[in-house]
Amino acid sequence: MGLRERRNNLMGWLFISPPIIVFSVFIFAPMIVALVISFHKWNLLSPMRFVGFKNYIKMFHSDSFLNSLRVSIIYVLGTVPTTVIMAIILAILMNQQIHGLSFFRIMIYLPVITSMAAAAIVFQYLFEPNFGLINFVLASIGLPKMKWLNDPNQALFALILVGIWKRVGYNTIILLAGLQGIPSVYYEAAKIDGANTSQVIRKITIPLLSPVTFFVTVMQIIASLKVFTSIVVMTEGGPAGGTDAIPYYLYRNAFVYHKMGYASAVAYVLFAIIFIFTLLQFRFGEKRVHYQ
Amino acid sequence: MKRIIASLIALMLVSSLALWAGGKQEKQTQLKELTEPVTIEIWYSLGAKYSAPLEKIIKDFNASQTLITVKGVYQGGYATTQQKLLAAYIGGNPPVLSQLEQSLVGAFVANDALVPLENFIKADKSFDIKDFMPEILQGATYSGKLYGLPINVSTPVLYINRDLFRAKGLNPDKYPTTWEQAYEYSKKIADQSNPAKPIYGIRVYNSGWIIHSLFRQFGGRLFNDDNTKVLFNSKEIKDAILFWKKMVDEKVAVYQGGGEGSAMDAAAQIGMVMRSTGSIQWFKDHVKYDWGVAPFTLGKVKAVSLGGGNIYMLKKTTPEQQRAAWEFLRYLTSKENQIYWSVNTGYMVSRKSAYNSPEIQDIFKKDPRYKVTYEQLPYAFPRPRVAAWPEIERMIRDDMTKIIVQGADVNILDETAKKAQELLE
Repeated sequence: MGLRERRNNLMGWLFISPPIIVFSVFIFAPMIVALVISFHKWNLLSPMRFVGFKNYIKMFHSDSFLNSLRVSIIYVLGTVPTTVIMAIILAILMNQQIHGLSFFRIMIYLPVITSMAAAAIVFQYLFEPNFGLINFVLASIGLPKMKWLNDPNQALFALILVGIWKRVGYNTIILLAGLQGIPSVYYEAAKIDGANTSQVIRKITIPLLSPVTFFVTVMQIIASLKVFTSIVVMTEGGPAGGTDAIPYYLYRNAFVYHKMGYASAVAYVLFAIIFIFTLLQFRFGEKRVHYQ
Repeated sequence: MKRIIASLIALMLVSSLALWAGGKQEKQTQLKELTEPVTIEIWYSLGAKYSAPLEKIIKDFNASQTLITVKGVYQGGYATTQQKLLAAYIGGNPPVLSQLEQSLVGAFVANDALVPLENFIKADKSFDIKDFMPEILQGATYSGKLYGLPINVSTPVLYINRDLFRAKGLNPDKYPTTWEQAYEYSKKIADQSNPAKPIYGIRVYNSGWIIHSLFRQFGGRLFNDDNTKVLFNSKEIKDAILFWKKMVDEKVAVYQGGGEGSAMDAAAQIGMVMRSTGSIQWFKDHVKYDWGVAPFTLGKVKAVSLGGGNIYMLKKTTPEQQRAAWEFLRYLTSKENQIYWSVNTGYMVSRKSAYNSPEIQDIFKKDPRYKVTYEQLPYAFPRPRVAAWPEIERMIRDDMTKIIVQGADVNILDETAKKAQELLE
C-alpha cells in the first residue's frame, strides 16, 4: 500500500468517523445493552438477575402483550392500504398541470412537518364527544354522534384517522417523485396508440410506479408499527387497552412499571418484526418489481 | 424506539456508577452543626401557579441564613418526576429532597432508597412532630417509619351543582350521605331530554384515588395488611363496580374522566362529581352556576383516599446535604409557611397549629367549602404501598372500563387478581 493510498484510506475513515461514533454510542451500543437487559429481571433499583428467555416466554403468555400485538396489527391494516392508495391518487392528481399546484402540495405535505404532539392535542379537542367539531359535523348532517376516544373500539379508529392524516403527505411526495421518474416516451407512445386515461394509468403508471409503491408500503408499515406520540397524547393506551399498541406498551412497562428486562424483550420483538419488513424491502425492492 | 434504546443504555451506564456510589458506607445521621456552605436541590412536580409560592419559600429560606443554598427544580408531572428521580438515584446523584405523589413511593421504599426522618425529629428539640395531623402523616409512614413530610396533601370531595338540585326540587343544602342517596338524587337530576346537552346526576370515572375510595367505601380492600395478598376480587369491590355500572347503564351517571369530564362539569351537565379539594379554585375559575362542596364519604365505610404528595429525603447523598435538607424541610413545614402555602394554593395545611391559626380559620369563615376536606380527614387512608401498584392500578382501571363500558363480566377481576398476585411475589 503506497503512502498516498494509505493517506486516502485514513482520510476516508476520518470522514466517516463522526457518524460511526454517534451511531455506536447512541444506537448500536444501546441495542446490545438492551439485548443483554432483555435476558434479565431488573427494576432499576434492584440488582439485575439473569432469567434466560423468561421475559420472552412471559410475553407470549401475557394477554396484555397479545392485546397490544392485536392493536398494532389493526393499526397497520387500518393505515397502510388507505395511506398508500390515497397517496397514489393524490400523486397522480398532483402530477397534472393544474393552476396553484404548489399550494396543494404544501397543504398535503403540511401534516408531515407538523409536530405530532401539538397536532394530537388539537385532535383530542376535535374528537371530544360533547363539544368536538367532528361530532358537531356528524350531527349536523344527521349522522349519530360517536364516543371516539372514550370508547375502547372507536378510539383506535380515531387514531388510525390521525395516522392517515399525518402520513399521507409523505407518501404522496415520494410517489410523486416516482411518477416524475417515469420517462414520458411511454405516455407519448400510448397516446399515439390511442390509449385512454384509465388504460394509461392501469398499463403504464401503476406498473412503472410499483417499485416506489412497494417502498412506500414497507416504510408505511414500519412507521405504523412505531406509532407512539399520538397514543401518548390522546389516549395513553386506553380506554381499557383499546389503543395500547406495542411501542406504548413497551414504554409503559419500561418507564412507568420499571420492568426494564421485560420491556427490552418487547423492544426486541418489535425490532424483529420491523427487521423482517426491512429485509423484505432490501430483498424485493432491489429486484425492482416492474417491467422497465 | 431508538430513543428508548438510547435511554436504556444511558440507564445502563449510570447503573455502574450506582453500584460504585451505593457501596459507600451510609453513616448514621447526627444533628450536627454545619460548618461549610452546602447547596442542595429539591425536585417538585408543582407546575403553573403552584410553583410560585414554593419558590418564594425557598428564596426566603436562602435569605434567612448563609450556609445553605436550596435550589428548587421543577421536573414535570408526578410520573415524570418519579421517573427522573429513579434515574438520578440509580446514577448515584439524586437530589437530597424530592416531592413524590402518594401512590408512587412504593418502589423507593421497597428498595430502601429513602432516609427515615426519625433521627432528625428525635435530635431536633425545636421540631414538634405531634403538631402534625396524624391522618396526613400516615401517607408518608411505611412500616411504622416516617419518611417524608407533607406538602400538597388533599382528599377528594363531592362537588354539587346547587342550581341543578333546585331545578329538580331537591334541597341544595341536603347533600347525599350514602351511595343509595346519591343514586336517588341522581335519578331525579338526570335528564336526557336534550340530546345535545344530556344532564347526569353524577359523574364517575376510574382515576386511581377515586376508585380506591369507592372500593373502601363498599367495604373492600385492595391488599391485606402486609401487602402480600391481593384482595380486590372480593364481592364488595365487585358490588361497588356493578353499582356504578347500574347507574351508567340507566344514564343516571356518566362514566367520563379527564379533560372531557371537567368540561362537562363546567357546562353544568353534572349534578355531583368527586374531585380534589384542590379543585375549588378551578370551580371558582370555570363554573358559573351555584356550587357547593360536600364530604365524599358515601359508603357503608366512611373512607377517602389521601392525594397529593409529600417531600422525601433520598439516600446516596452526603450527611451534610441531609443535614441541610432537614433544616429546609423544617422551614418548609413550619406553621407560617404552611399557612402561606395553603392560602396561595388551596392545598391543606398539615399542622394543627396552622389549622387553628386566624388566617386559616378566616378562610373557612368566608368560604366554608374549604373546610370540608378537613372534616372528612379522620376517614382518610393512605394509598397502596406496593411497588407494582402503578401496574396493578392500570389493570384494575382497564377492567372497570371493560365492565362498565363494554359490558364485560365482573368476574374478569378474578383473572386480574391472579396476575396482580404474581406481581406481588
